[in-house]
Amino acid sequence: MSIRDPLPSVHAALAQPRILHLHGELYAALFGSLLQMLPAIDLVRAAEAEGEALTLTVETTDAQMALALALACRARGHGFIAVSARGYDPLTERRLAYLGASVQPAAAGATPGATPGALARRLGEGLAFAEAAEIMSEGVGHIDCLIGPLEAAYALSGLGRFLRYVNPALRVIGVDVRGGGPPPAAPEPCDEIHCCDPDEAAAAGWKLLIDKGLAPGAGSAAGYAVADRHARRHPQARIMLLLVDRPWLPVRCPEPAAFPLPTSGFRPVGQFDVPQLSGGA
Amino acid sequence: MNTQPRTLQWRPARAKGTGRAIGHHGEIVQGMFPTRDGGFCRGLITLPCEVFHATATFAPEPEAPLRSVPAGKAKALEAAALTLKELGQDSWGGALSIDSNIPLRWGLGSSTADVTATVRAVCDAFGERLPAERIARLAVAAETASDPIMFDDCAMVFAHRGGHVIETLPGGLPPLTVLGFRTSEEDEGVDTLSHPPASYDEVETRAFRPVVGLLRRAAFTGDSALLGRAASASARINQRFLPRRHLAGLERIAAEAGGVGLQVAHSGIIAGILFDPHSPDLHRRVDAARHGLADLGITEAWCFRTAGDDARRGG
Repeated sequence: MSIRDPLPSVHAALAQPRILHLHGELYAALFGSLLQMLPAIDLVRAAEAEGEALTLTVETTDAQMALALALACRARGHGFIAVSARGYDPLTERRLAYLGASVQPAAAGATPGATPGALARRLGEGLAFAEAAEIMSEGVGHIDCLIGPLEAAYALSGLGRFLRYVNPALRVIGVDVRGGGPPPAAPEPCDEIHCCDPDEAAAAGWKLLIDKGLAPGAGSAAGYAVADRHARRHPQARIMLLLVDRPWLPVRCPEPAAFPLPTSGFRPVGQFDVPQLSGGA
Repeated sequence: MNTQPRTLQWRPARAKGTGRAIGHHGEIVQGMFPTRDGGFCRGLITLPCEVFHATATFAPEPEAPLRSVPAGKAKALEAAALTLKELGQDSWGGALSIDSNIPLRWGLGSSTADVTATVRAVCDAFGERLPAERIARLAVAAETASDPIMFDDCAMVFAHRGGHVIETLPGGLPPLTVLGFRTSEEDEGVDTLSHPPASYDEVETRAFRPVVGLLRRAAFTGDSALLGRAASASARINQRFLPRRHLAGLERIAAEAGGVGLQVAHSGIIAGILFDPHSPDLHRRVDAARHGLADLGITEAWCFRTAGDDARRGG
C-alpha cells in the first residue's frame, strides 16, 4: 500500500470521498468539496494530457460545474472561459470573475474553441469517479447497493459503472425529493427510483445531524432516509450512500409527528474536575 | 571516463550450482494500476502454484560457450548470460540443464520458472545470492515479461514488463483452494511473447481501480471471497483481449458450486475456480465444480491450495 503523499492542492485533498460507517451494513461516502470538482479536475488533466491550449473553454449551463472548472483551472494555472446560453446568476458570475474566469454567451451553432462535447462525454463515461470507486472498495469491500440523490445522477452513473466491474449485480438507487405523484422514470444509471417526501427528508436530515454530527443537504438527507429504510429491510445488503451536497444546518424543522425531537430525558454524563495548571517554578 | 582496464574476478566456481523455482497458475489480476505520479502502469498479481516447479543445474566452465540441456532453452540461456555479467563473471560459460514439470504455453510460468531457477543456479555456482528485486530485473531482461515468483511473498502488484514492484499488499494474499483446468483441451496454448499486450482503453484502464481497492481490502482483512471477486473482475475485463470459451458458464459454475471466483492465465489457456479453503463442505463444493466442468466438456482438472496467510485465522 502506498504511503500518503502530501496533496498538491486543496481540491485534491477534498475532492475524493471519505468513507463513514453509519450502522450495520450501511456506509456513506462523504464528499468534502463540490462534487463537480472530480469531473472538473479530470477534464483539466485530460486537456493537459492532450497538450491543449492553456485556456480551457467549456460550455456548461451548470453553475456549480462552471465554478468547479474555474477552481480547477486556477489551481493548475490555466485560464477558463465558461460558455453558457443563458448565463449564470449574478453571484456565480461574480465568483467566476474573482477566479479569473470569463463568461461568454453561447452563439448559435458551434462555439469557436469550445469543447462542448468533451465534458459531456467524460461525464457520461464517469471516468472521474473511478478513484472514488477504488476508495469505496478499499474501505468496505463488496458493495451490494449504491444510493444517492438524483441531482447527482452523473456521480451515481460513474460510480455505478465502475463498481459494477467488481459486482455486476450492484443495484443503483436514485432518490427523488418530491411530494406525491408518480415516480419519474429511472434514468440510465439507476435500476430504480425511490421518492422521498420533503418532510421525511427533513426528518432524516435532522436525525443524521443529531446522531452522527453530519449536516446533509436536502438531496443527501433524502438519500439517507431511503438508505436507512433499505438497510432495515435488507440487513445483509451492504449499502453505500452518497452524501454529495455541501454541509449546511437545516433551516427547516420537521413536524413533530414526522420526527419526535428529544426535548427531555437527557442525563448528565458526569462531572469533571478541571486540573489547575501549575504556575511553573 | 574510467580508462582503467577491467579486472576480471576469477572467483573459483563450484563444480555445479543448483536453483529451484516454482511456477504459477496464471494471475489473480492483470491490468493497469495507478502509480504515485498519477499515471498507470501495467501490472499483475500472480497466483503462485507449488505444484509446478523447475530445477536448474549450472556447471560453469571458463572461457566456454553457454549451452542448455534440453537444447532450445533460449530464455534460460539469456538469463544465464545476464547473471554471469551481473556477477562480473562473464568470461565463464558452461552447461545449463533444466528439469521442469511445467507444461509449455499453458500460462503456468514455465519460462519464468526456468529463468528464475537458472539465475539462482548460476549464483549458487559462484557462491552468490541475489535479492529477489535483482532476479526480477534479470528475468524481465531475459524474457520481456515475468511473474514475480522469485519473491518469497507474492502479495504484490508487480510490473511484469518493468520488473519492479508497483505496490505491496500488506497482510498477504488470503489462502485459496484452486480447481485448475484448461479452458480448451484442444488448444495448444499461447506464446506469451507473440501475444500482444492488451490495449486497454481509458475506461478499462480505470476499471482496475475498484479491483485494486478490493485487493487491498482482501489482503488487509484476509478475505478470500474478496480476492475471488477481484479475480473474476479481471477475467471479465480481459475477456476481449484473450477470449475464454464459456466464461459466463464458468462463472456460473463457480457461483453454483459455492466458489468465491474465477481466475485465468492472462496469456495462457488455463483457469481456476477459486474456493475459500475454510468454507464448510469444501470437498463437496470442489466436486460440484468438477461436475459442472465436465458438463462443459472439461474433463481434466487439478486441485491445489495456496499457502496464503492462515496465521491470523488460526488455520
